[in-house]
Amino acid sequence: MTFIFILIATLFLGAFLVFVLWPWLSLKKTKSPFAGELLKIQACLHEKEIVFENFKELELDHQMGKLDDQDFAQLKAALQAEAASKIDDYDRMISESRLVGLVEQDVRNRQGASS
Amino acid sequence: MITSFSWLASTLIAAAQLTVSVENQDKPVANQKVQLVELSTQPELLEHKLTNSKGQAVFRFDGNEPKRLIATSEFEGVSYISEPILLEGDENKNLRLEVFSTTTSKAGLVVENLSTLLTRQDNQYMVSQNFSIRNDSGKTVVAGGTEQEPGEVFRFALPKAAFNVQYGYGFDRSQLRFDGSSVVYPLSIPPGRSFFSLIYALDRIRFYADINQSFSIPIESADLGLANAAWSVQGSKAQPIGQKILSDQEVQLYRLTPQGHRLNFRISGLDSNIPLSWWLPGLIFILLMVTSLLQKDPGLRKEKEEESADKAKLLKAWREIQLLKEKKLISASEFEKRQLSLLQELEAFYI
Repeated sequence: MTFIFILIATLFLGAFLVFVLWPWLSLKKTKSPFAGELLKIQACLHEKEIVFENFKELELDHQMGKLDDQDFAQLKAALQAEAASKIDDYDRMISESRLVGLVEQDVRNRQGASS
Repeated sequence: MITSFSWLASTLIAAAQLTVSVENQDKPVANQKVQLVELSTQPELLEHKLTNSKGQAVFRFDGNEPKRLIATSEFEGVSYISEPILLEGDENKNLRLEVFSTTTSKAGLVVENLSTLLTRQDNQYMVSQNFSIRNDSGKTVVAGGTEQEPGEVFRFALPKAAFNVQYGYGFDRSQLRFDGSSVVYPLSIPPGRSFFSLIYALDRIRFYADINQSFSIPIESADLGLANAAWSVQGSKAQPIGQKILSDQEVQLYRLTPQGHRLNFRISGLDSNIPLSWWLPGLIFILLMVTSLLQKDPGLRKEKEEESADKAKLLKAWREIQLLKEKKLISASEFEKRQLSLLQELEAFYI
């Protein structure tokens, strides 16, 4: 009988602890699985913007006569190559993103349901 | 003349006579004070006399009223009572009052027919016990001891879980002593059998009851009665010996084999009745949990509905920016910014 009482008391205590700690345990679980890919997309977009900013500044410097044609052409080609690389990176990340895949799937499902 | 008068007087006034013979081991006890008590609604001490050299005390009564009498005498500090006798009219009757020498040795004492009956009453189990103590010593066993250190005739211990103990036949509650978990019986026990009974209760909080009892004198024989066929007994080499109807209740009988001075057995298969005060905290806790879950449920549903609406809005926006891009109404840079912003908001719905 004492054993049964201890068993019941332990079960109650266990249930109580689960009840109290559940929010904390579930909070730990809610860490996003897409955080990594979103950060990479964000960083890529930021780098691409920087390349475009640099491109604008390069054109301005050339117009103001700070850069001769030869240097301008050389730097412009380098920035264009970098920009193209960033655009490719961005498109690849978007196409490989699981989150984008899920969103696209949902959009298609909703379109299918509405039509 | 005198003889004639005596004859006339004895015929006119009826006289009864009772001769009390006091004997110790079949030998008369002279100069022994004998008291005569009339048994009525209020027992009355009639008279007392000393026994003669033949160990006899002769009491005479006038009148025809019938009398129910007992004789008592104190010998070596122990009071003895005769069998009751009915005296009517002018009867002459003899009454034997046996007294015994005393001893403090308990060697001749044994517990016999320790009979235990377990029944259920409301929230508890009742254990009724009857037993007799047989004195084979031929002497009255007395406690001995002094006022400072009183002796004992026998002692016994009840199960630890026993409560509400009621001492019945054979016990004088005011004379009993309690030494730790033991009950000490200090009164004298004459040769022959002396009968005792007691009742105690056991809580109905377990599915079994351990009856562990010990006596300071050997237990010769014991039996057990269980008022429910579903109950079973383990220990003390219990042997079923049949059934008996007791107060419209079928009782299962078992013969038990005591271990010297002890009797240990377990009755299992009992139905437990754990008091509400034990369950109440747990029940309140469950109730609180269920209540909180029920209260949480409508809120959760509402939250989910809102969440679904928000997600639909974001998916619609996702489709819109794609259309704007296709129609070249927004720049690629603007599209990418909006796309990233929407992805960051939609992320929460896909975790």
